[in-house]
Amino acid sequence: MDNILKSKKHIVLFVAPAFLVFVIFGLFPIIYNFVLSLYRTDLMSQGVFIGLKNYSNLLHDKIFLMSLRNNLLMVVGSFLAHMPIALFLANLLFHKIKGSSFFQSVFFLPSVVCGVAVGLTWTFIYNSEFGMVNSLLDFLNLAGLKHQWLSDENTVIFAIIVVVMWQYVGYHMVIQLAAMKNIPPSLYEVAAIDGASKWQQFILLTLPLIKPILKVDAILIITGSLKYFDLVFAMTGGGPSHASEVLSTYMYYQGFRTMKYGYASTIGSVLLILCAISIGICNVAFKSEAVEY
Amino acid sequence: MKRKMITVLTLAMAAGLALSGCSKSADSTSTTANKENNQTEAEAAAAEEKKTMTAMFLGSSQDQAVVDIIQAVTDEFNANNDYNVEFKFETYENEQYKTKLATVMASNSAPDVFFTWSAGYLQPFVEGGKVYEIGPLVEGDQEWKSRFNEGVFGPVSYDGKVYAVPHGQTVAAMFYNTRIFEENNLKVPGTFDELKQSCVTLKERGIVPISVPVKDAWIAGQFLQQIANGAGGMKLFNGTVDSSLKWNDDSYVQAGELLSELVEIGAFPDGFLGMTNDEGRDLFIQEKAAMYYMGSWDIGLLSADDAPVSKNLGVFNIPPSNTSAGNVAIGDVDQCLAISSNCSNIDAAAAYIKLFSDTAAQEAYAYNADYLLSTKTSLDESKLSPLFIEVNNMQQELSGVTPWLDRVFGAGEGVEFNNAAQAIIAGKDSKEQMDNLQQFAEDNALR
Repeated sequence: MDNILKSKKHIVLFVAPAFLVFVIFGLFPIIYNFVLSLYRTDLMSQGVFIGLKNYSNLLHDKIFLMSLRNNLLMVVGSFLAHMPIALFLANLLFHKIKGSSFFQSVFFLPSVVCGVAVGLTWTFIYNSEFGMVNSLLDFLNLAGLKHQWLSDENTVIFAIIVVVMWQYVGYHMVIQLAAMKNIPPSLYEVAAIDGASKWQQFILLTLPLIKPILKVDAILIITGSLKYFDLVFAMTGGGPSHASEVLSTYMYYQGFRTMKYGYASTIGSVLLILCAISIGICNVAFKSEAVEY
Repeated sequence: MKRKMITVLTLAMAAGLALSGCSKSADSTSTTANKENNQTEAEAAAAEEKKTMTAMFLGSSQDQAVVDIIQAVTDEFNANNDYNVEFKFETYENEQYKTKLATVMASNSAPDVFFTWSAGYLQPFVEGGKVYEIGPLVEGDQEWKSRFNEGVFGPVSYDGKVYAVPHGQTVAAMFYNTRIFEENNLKVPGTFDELKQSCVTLKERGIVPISVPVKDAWIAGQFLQQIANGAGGMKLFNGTVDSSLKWNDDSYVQAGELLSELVEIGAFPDGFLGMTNDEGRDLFIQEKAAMYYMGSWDIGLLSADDAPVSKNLGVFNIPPSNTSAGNVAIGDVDQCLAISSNCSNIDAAAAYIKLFSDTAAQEAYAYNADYLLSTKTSLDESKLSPLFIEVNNMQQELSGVTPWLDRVFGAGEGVEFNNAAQAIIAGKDSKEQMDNLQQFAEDNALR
């Protein structure tokens, strides 16, 4: 085994297939996308090179700014649900409350369901006439709070964010729970003997030890909510009047509907840059030394 | 411990993969037809030598009648043609079709024959050199050319060249329930004010006046366009198309204000902002709404035997608010077929398309799919639904027809017009929305 791993030839041989796939389906499209973003083109007639005009146009594009705002709201919403709330749930289950494996499955379940199905289900829940939300408000004598959740420009994006929060809270909980289970129990025994309360154990022991995983998780959360597409597309298609548009749905709209592929590529590039920046921020914010135990 | 974590992470990733895979398959309803299961071996051997050509059509489960026509024509062509080719076709639902066609066109893998809408929808493909100019083929075959009505090639002509062949026509109309109108002593409105008055009366009696479900923005856009037709007539439409008039022209703003007035008097059903097209149509079919504004493609569903409303159907064109605008309605040619420029056998493709204007196919378009025809095919009135005849008569009396703006202007300005209409109907200011639309049009030209 060691011999195989020492030989450069073997390494190249084993890495090559994955590397090729990455170049063809990852690297090349990214570069091509950047090149396209410098053109005004519908990919059919001859494109016109316009330099960074597409980027400066973006800054005046109300719909783009709206999508950007929506994406940032979604990052905030997801972060709230998938960090503190998921951590809280994970910590509960970690302490082996009754039926913890049952709850683990229950919380994880929504993230296994296909996004379009979740979208359709919630479209019914939010329906202004027979939906669960408005019926519940009626039942609680709060009819004044009733809204046409998905048709009102002011509520639609929040309505969708709630679904995203709900859908993936279990997914991140499982990741964080796995990290917690990786910590040797003896550390907790020692902490308990020294008189640390459960809260102190969580803050001083659990959190620092799962920090590396939290970093990965934070990157997943942020890039995931920046790239979000399926639920928005299934529930509202970005409407009404682009009020629930996010960057990826707007990119789809500009590309496949108005056939301004250059402009769509520009949005794609901005999305990539945003993701890269957020990864950088996570790396700085969650800086930690490697822990050996 | 580490292994456990890896297992969990792997599971989570697998779930993620399953998710993305699922979302792709869930909305794909494409049907690949043409499976020759019953071929004898001899026929199969002959078929092997045949060259296969491809076609792509619009057709969801709701337009089964259209899919049936395509199937029949394709079978007929495959059974007997001089070109030794065989056509295979695929059908897609509306949104999917648009995405699919845009993709195959951009990647040079367009099918030989494809369905298209008129005007602005086909334009970028024509300008990109992706569509074969079918005009000379039709001109060259006088028998083929003579089948069509005057002027039907206008909306599929670019720079005077014809790029598609239309096989049907559609017109938008206000369908109404004659029983509800009679019971409430209402007449077909002759002016826009009378229409508004009828709405007030119906609302007072607890009946939904007009079912306009606008979850999909194009239905709002269609309704606003018709009111604008009544405010500015053909002059407004032509001016918009040749861009001598702007989107924030007084007539559009005024039309938006009239629309807001209708909302204020409660002309539309509760929750209409979030209502889907199907739900809106259902209100009318179940006789809960007195009127329903939609394109003539709904004739079949409205006059189906099991529809409670089917015996009480009437139709009128929404009267103009400005009488000088004339009797204008929204309408367009439909079921257009075109040949792509990378077609492998142009003559075979033309012969295939020609079959769609044969009497048999045209009769099926009228009798089964309720399309007004673009050809001179004479129809047997006894086989047509009464509503079809009424719509046909209404169309004859029009002084002008404006194609749907989202077809003329395509996805950019056209769709934004729909969005503006949706915003106005949801309570936004008409002037502000139309100013925004004009601003968008100017910005979008530079992108």
